[in-house]
Amino acid sequence: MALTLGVIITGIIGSTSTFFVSHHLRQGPVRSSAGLSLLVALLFHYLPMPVSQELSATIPYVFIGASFIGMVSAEVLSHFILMGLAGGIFGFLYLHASHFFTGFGGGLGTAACIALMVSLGGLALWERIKKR
Amino acid sequence: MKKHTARASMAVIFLLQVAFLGAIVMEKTNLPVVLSMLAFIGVSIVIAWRNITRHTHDHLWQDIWLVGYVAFGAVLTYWLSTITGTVIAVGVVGVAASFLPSLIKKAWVRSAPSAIYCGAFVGMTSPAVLPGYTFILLAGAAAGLLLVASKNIFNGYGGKLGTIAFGGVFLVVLLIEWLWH
Repeated sequence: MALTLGVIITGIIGSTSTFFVSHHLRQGPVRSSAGLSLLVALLFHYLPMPVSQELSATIPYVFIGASFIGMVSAEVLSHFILMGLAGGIFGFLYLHASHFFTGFGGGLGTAACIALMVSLGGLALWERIKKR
Repeated sequence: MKKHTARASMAVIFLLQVAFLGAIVMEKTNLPVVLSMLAFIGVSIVIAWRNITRHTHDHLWQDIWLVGYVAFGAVLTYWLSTITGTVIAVGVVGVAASFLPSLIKKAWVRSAPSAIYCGAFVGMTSPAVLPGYTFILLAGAAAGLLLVASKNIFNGYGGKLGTIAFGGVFLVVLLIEWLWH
């Protein structure tokens, strides 16, 4: 339960913080995603954290994966709530990803792209319902 | 030609997403909660796919630089991850790449950060999946070609670079499987 909650919260923080640094602090998508992920990875690698060893090893991967969502341009998605929702869905996908693709580079990015599209699809559906 | 390239790369990205989600469905057939969530994800994705905008940039020969950038990012990250760990390696490569356009003010460096970062995702691949630098270089080059082909689609979508990296790795794994069996 702690792992599930930790992964989903990390997903939400990863996506929203990257978007914030990229757009509001004007650092661009690559520097925001890579910089924040590097910071989180270094913290969890060198400092003792008040979380289990399993969660401590997982958080940097979840954060970098969720940060890919935050690389989105403001023209595509700019709602922080939807960004957080995408981060949460990314956490779900991370927890249930197939073992078949374990170790595949880019797997986190694919999950991030899917999570972002779920948010965009949800938004489109909501707007269609509102029009009616 | 632009239209066909965009359609082909859209098809590749769609198939990669289907493979990723399909593999989860195959493994979690006994978990109704997961399957219900995946059904919701599937419906939302279909709606999102219908609203994807396309651009009409030309595919210039200069874009071929991207293949080199992606391959370079992949090999560098793969090597660095043996020393520092995967996420730290990707972070270092990504941060360093993001400063390149400020240091070298040339047109051909402008697209380097995102391409090198895409390569860094390829370099995250475990040695158990792609053993050795040759395969990583091949996966990086394949991802680079996909990146050039997908220039007019998914622009500004988070996760595009990762999906392309996944495509490069997936193609090379399929190639290895085909050659060995």
